[in-house]
Amino acid sequence: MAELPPKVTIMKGASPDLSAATYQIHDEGHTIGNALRWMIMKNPKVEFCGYSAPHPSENVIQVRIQMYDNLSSLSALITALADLDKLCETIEDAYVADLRKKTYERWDERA
Amino acid sequence: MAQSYDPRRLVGIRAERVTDVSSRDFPGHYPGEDHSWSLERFRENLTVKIQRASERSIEFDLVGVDASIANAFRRIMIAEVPTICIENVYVYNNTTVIADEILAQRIGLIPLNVDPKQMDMKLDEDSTDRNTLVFTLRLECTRKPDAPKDSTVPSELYENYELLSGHLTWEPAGEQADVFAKNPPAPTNPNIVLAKLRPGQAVDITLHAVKGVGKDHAKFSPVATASYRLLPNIVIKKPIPPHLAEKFQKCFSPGVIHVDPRTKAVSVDEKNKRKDTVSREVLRHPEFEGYVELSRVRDYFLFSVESESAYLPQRLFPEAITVMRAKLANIRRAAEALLDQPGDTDVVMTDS
Repeated sequence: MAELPPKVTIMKGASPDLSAATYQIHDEGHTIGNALRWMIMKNPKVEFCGYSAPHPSENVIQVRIQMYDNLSSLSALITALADLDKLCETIEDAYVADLRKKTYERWDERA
Repeated sequence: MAQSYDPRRLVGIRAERVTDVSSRDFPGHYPGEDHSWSLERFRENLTVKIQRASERSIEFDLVGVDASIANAFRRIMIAEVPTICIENVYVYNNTTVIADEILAQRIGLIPLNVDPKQMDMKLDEDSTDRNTLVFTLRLECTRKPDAPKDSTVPSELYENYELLSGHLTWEPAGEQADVFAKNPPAPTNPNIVLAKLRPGQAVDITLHAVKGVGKDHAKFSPVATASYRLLPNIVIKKPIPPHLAEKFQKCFSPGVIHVDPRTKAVSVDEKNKRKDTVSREVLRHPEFEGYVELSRVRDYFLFSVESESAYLPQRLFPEAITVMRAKLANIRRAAEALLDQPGDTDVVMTDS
């Protein structure tokens, strides 16, 4: 099988301290793109964050992050990924807890 | 007493437009307010409530999350939760009127009862007993010897006149006989008609089922639908005149508006307001102008998921979360690898 391209790359034109950079994430789409953008924008140190899926024939998304105070956009990205994971865990726990309570209505549905 | 929501949580619904669609809960949007990410605050505001479930579908509320998160789960349930489907069809004989490729396409769409947890993804050309299930499909249509003479009914005239999903026979290989002993692989529904046959026509087909995801082919999608809508919110601004009460009630879906049988007092049924379709009929009548305000709650998602696979409906949402977390972990690993590279970012730059 062909060698897979790296999952995440930093695109040309990033500032040397990575306070402003565009990350190309391979084999992802709007599912991750929009959720990740939202979580990055929740960070008060982020000046700007946006994402795009440049072309349907390219299986990538590009996430642009610009930081205040010359902070690293890469650590903002990693923090956001970790926070999103915690968010998923919290939702899963809440879902499973409510499912266990069995307080929902059961009904019969014919095939 | 009608439940009221923070106006910031509402998407306004007017006669010919919607207002305040986007969320604005970002740091820096409202001066002096902290909208940065906080897991504790999120946990406090989060509500997940399962409303009703059957053996095929589930409805639940997801309250307190952003649309981007709810949409990610919806998209994953449709396109990235894996299932087992027939991928390769080897036709040795097919004398039916259905062309090979059409029949192959129909066979691919049959939902199988195999729990995807029991199989691996087939990553290369090598088929093993861990990633491939083999089925055969053999049927020959014949004339019934004792058929009534003047009958025109196929079931009286012919044997095996319909090729059904139930005719699939599983051929265990390797360790599969033990692994799948409890629940032998078969279609979830044995009554799907794949082709119709007449005497002399026959099929002889071998099939390979593999694990896949919906973004590759819709047949792998574990759901018939996975969708959400926002909770409708109806606010009656001033009492509806009693002689218009019933007309007002009819502007909404049944059960949404309650009219007191004696006093004709109109109120919104808080339990049933989710049933409203938000048809906006009430906004078409000039006599109700100024009486009512329609909206939807931006972070109140009413999910409806129908399973069409081996998954129980209540398992689909946790599976979607698992897939999401695997994706996040994968990206995070790659991003952390970038951290370790020396300050010179030339190394990781790409031309595209």
